[in-house]
Amino acid sequence: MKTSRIWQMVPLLAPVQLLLLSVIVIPSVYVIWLSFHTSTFGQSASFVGWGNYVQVLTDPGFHSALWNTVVLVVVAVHLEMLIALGMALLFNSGLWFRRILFVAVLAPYAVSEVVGVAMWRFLFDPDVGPVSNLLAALHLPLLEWSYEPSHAMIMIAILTIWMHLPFTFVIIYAARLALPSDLYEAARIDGATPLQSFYRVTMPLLGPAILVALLFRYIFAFRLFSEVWLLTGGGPARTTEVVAVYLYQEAFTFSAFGPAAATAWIMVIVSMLLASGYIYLLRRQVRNAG
Amino acid sequence: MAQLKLSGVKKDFGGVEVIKGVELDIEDGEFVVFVGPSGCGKSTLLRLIAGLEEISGGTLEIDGKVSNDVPSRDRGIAMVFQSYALYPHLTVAENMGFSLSLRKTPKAEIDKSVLQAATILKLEHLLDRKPSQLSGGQRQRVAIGRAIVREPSIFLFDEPLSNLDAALRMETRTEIAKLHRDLAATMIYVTHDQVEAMTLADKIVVLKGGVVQQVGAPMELYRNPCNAFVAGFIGSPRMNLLKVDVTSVEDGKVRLAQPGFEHLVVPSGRVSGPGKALLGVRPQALTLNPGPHQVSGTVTLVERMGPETVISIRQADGSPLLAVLPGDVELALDANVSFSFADTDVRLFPASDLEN
Ligand SMILES: Nc1ncnc2c1ncn2[C@@H]1O[C@H](COP(=O)(O)OP(=O)(O)O)[C@@H](O)[C@H]1O
Ligand SMILES: [Mg+2]
Repeated sequence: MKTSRIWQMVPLLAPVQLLLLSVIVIPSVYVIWLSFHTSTFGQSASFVGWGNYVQVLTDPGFHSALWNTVVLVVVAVHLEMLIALGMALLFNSGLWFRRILFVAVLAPYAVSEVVGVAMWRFLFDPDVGPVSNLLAALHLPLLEWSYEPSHAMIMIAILTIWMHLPFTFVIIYAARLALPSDLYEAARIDGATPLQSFYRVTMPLLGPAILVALLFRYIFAFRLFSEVWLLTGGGPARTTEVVAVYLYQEAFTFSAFGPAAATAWIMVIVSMLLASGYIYLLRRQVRNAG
Repeated sequence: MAQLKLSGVKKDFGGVEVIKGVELDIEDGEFVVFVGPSGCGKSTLLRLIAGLEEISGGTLEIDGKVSNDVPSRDRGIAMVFQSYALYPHLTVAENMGFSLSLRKTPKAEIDKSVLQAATILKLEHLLDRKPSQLSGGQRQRVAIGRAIVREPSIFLFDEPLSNLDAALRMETRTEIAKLHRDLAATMIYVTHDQVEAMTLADKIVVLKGGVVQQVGAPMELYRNPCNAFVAGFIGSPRMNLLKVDVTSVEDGKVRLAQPGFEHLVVPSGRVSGPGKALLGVRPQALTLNPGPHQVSGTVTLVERMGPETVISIRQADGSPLLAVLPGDVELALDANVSFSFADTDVRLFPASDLEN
């Protein structure tokens, strides 16, 4: 068979591989290449070695963005897990109007992020927002998110929890539904109070699902972008910038493609570290359970 | 050790009555078996006793104390589930000691109780395994072990053997019987298998459609079934119920119109007048020897087991009949055969017994 004919056949034999190559591998390699060069519009790239990485890692702006990201990840993801767990158990314990509530809980996932953010901006608008008005009427402190950085961070956390709660909730709820009811009957006969059933049966058995949900959410949350960008744009004065926003600013505001590419790779590496840590824990748990 | 008294116990699920007023006394240390076809309410009745379902009407007394509202954990019961319901995240030892650890029993004491139960059930070498690493039979023993560790006064079993293969089922059955002898606890056992009921029970409770049909010792039910349902359910293979026409009832004796039964005089039982009735004949009561009362038909199946032969025939009216003959009997398919039986081996039931 002629070599040219083999080359004609390759696309038919390996569509998935080709797809991966074109949409993941080649861009990734290009970004690696870019991260070792200085590059901006109208100027040919020149090699700078680790320079971009050094620049990013020593930039106070990056430090603050990283700190903000870590705070948001830790606070939002764990709070979200607690809420999701509570709601899953509530749904499981036989709630009234369960179907309608289920739809309501899942709805944020069907709403476009832009629409969602616009909605929350309106609700919490310091001047005309219904929630702000309500808080004011109750003489409660307002969320001054448009100029008070800590309030803005709270607002971002609320928003990201609201947006991703359906994901966490569905994973935990599905895992809870999969637990056979006779285990709980056995526990009841064994003398367990509802609280003991929760700590000694539900929690250990939901462990793997909680771990998986947390892992995914850490990774998603680490890439947190649209909530921040659409709500505060990283402001006021870059105080609420997160890593992904920092990257975006570097690339498209300052046209510094080299540091932006380096930031992207730093994010990938952190995500992979998170993921591998959790996969390790997960495998250990599965081995223990098996 | 405990005695139970159920008076007019009812259960309905959203308006559908599933247990329809059960009266039952269970003595201290008795082995009681609830038996009946699938869906008759056996499990529900057991779960009412366990406190896993709320009783809708009537009273449940345990040791003379009304216990309708006593929570499961205070009823002095332990239950073995059909699905075993072992905690998958705990080892065998932890599963067995779970109830004690909930009560904050010292570890040494838990270990001692667990080891004791494990020794009875020959589970010592499996104590560190997880349920997923056990065979079905081993899981079943762990479930029984978990019940033993609680030292309950009442053991409840819900079809504990139905997921085991035949050999293991027989072995475990023997073990449960031995356990009952050794522990002298009250045991209530649910099964749809009349063989388990016959071999294990001190007292059998036959249920159908949420109603108790008959309560009694196994041989009592076998010899004197109170209706055609119990007659058909107890005994293997099941009793033949021949459709007959009663011509007259006199002095508690009945005469039948059927050809072959002209000379048959049977106690009327619950049959009060002429009309349709069912004549119960156990397959083992039929013989090939000639006699005054005859049933005949063509052979449709011969099952030669060695010590006995099971013969299926089709009677002239198309209804099937089963005969069990001792020893090995050779019969050709489609051959015409006649069986006879003695007056004393038959029992008459109203035809209405098998309606609904
Ligand atoms: N939780 C329930 N809700 C509604 N119906 C039920 C419930 N549990 C059992 N039933 C009904 O009660 C009847 C008896 O069930 P069950 O006690 O499980 O029968 P068995 O154990 O004799 O096979 C069945 O018709 C079943 O459908
Ligand atoms: Mg059942």
